[in-house]
Amino acid sequence: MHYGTKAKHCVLFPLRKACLFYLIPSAPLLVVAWGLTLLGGCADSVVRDPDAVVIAIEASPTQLDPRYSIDAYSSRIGSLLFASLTRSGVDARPLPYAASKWWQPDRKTYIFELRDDLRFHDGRRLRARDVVATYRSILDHRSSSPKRAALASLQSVEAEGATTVIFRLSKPDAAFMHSTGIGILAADGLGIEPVAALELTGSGPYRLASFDSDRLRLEAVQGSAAGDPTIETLIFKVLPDSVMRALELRHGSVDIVQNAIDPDTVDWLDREEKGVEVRLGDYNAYQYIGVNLRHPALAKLPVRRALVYAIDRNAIVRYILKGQAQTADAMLPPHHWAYSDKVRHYSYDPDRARRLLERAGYTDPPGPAPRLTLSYKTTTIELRRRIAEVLAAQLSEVGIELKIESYEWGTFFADVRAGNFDLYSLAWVGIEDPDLMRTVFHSRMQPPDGNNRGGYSDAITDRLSERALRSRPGKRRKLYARLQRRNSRRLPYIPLWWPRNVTVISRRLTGFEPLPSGQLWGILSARLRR
Amino acid sequence: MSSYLTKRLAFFVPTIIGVASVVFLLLHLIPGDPVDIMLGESAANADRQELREKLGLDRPLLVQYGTFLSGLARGDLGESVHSGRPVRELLAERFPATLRLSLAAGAFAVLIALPLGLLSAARPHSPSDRITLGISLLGVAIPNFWLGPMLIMAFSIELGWLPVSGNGSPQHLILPALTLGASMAAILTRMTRAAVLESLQEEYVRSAAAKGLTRRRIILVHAFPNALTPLISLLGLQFGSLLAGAVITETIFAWPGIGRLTLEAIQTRDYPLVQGCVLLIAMAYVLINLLTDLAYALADPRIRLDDSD
Repeated sequence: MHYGTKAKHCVLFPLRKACLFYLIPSAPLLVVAWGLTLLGGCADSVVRDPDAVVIAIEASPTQLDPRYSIDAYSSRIGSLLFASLTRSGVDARPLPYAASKWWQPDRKTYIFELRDDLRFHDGRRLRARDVVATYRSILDHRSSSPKRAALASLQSVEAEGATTVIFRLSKPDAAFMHSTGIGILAADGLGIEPVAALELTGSGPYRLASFDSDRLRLEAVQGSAAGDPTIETLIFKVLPDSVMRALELRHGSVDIVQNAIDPDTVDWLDREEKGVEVRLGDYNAYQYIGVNLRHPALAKLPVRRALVYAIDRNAIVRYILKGQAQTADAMLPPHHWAYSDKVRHYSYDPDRARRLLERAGYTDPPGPAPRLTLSYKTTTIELRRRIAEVLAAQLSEVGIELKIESYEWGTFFADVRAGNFDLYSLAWVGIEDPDLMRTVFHSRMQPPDGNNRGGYSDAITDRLSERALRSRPGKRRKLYARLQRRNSRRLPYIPLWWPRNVTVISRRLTGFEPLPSGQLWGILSARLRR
Repeated sequence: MSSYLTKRLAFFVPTIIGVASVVFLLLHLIPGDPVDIMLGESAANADRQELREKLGLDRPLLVQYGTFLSGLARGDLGESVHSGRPVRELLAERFPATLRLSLAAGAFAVLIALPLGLLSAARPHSPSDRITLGISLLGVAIPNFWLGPMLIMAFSIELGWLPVSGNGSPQHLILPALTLGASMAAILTRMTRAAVLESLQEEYVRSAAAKGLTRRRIILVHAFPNALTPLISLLGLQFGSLLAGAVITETIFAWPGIGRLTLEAIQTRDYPLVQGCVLLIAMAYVLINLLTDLAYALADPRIRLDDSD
């Protein structure tokens, strides 16, 4: 007897028993189907609070204590929880927030006058001594606050009365104003160690109601320095996967996603037009290729220029980034107060790139061998790898072989900081004060003390960036224009593009205006459609 | 049985120490500095050094290893470099979610796979068998990162039955469990079919048929129990993989489990937390293997778990 043959089955397996046999395996499927139907009806009610606006974020904020926060989400959520002396405006200039006004009696002194109607969420008044306590705790040598380096020029901070704060610097430091955006904490009981999120008392337009690893709930507070929020509840939902953020938007269980969906998916959401709207705005960000100037070939200016001419940035912006960026020739974006258009502009010109390589001594060898081989480091993010492949294809047209090495963030970042690269690509996000150019291009700012990872050394750049730091705003603008022109000629970075601020918003939300800083102040004027 | 248990438990300690040592060394070999990730680029070098000292990262590797092992002996896994919270507390917070997801995925896989496998084995080469084999092939071939979004498109977006992601209600569990369990269900279906078919070729099945037993009875009472031993082995291995391999599913569905915690800890070079996560997964693996071995004895009385093995 062979049970494995079909003929025997027909004899041994009558129809009635076959039905029973099918019913047994079908039962769990039926149970699952039944369960889905039963549970389906109430699924949305579990997810949605109709009065809450849900904002999807990529990762949980690592530290909400404003003295210790460095990641973008800590900063953006923190700015809604804690009032600071100033906040960044559309053109990256500081605007009044907890401070109603400020002035400089001399180049080393800043005096801030606080608004006298400010209160912490527990009802205590926000006074000058709170500002002093916050800044002093950062300056304390026992503190490990990452913000202390930015306050290196701050010699002392004192309160004069209840509403006046005097900052005295050891030397003129025009970038100091950028450090006045640190959230203010209540002086009473404030130590130097970071405070747990739910124990922090802020004075912003929202207070933190709950915080677990994947969800933060903020509730509106009336009478803050930023104005009265119209949205009662904000929920920040951590969704690590880009596709899931898009699907949640499409599902209607998320209302806002900012700069956290891949360009292809944003394009799909835009075309679908189902309940969401895509907005492209200005963004304080700059994407570039970092160059190791210690490399014998990359130390030569014609080679760096050849790289810019060989890359068709417009094509990448159009086809890979779906128009969600603008080709850049310098670091500061056009809406920034220190932006200058008087820089060297580069267009796609592979013939010129070949000529420049010839001039630099990299002649075209016979056969398929490249003129020059360079490594290019990037992260494992799919979009970055796709861009790397396009760059490799474009550079191969002029005889440069690009060896792509993609690593997870920790390894990639360690290599970049150690100068272990020929080329790498990264973006500066949250560009506020143009003094960033000094920390990035000054010859003394090489890691670990700064961000000059490529080892760029140029006396004129050093002098211009130092002078700009000591100058008053009008003069600074001129000096930064010269610095941008110089950098566009000397190319310590290969400029790529300024990413746009890509915000996908649910249509049930009106009046939300995304800001170039990426901060979520726009939520204060937003309303929910009923 | 008891001596077998004692022997296996005695192996548990060196296994865990071995895993802990390998993880410790590998973690310190890969590039990346938790202090750089914590402080960002704008921090001064002196502050970096200070924090490095505070976290004990400036000490020689051997000293760090000794501290880690002595902590482990006391059941102290240290504190997360980033959050400052005890690793044990973080694991206790996240492990139940992973366990819940893995159990649900495993239950789904077993509920689907055993009946389908039996059905296929009962009528090999029939249309239903071919369909089952085709579906199980798809189940093995389709990656989680594709299946998850497709299920969401169908059940959350088009039908609106289930939430897209998150945690908190039974509905939230369904799609992640289906995604995670699909591959296991597929493998288990094929294995059940093969094992039952093999049993059906045995002499005792012929005897049973000769006695006039129905085919259903032959399969369910005679062939299937005899096919259980390889299935239990596979089930144990697969369940271990569910626990350890839930990273993708947890990331897709924003499920707050150990897989995501491990991934985040690796990305931020949170050494104590990675060590804690890997140790927990290793311990779960060892425990599941032990339970699998014990289950053999229950499924097949011929297997004796004692020193004469």
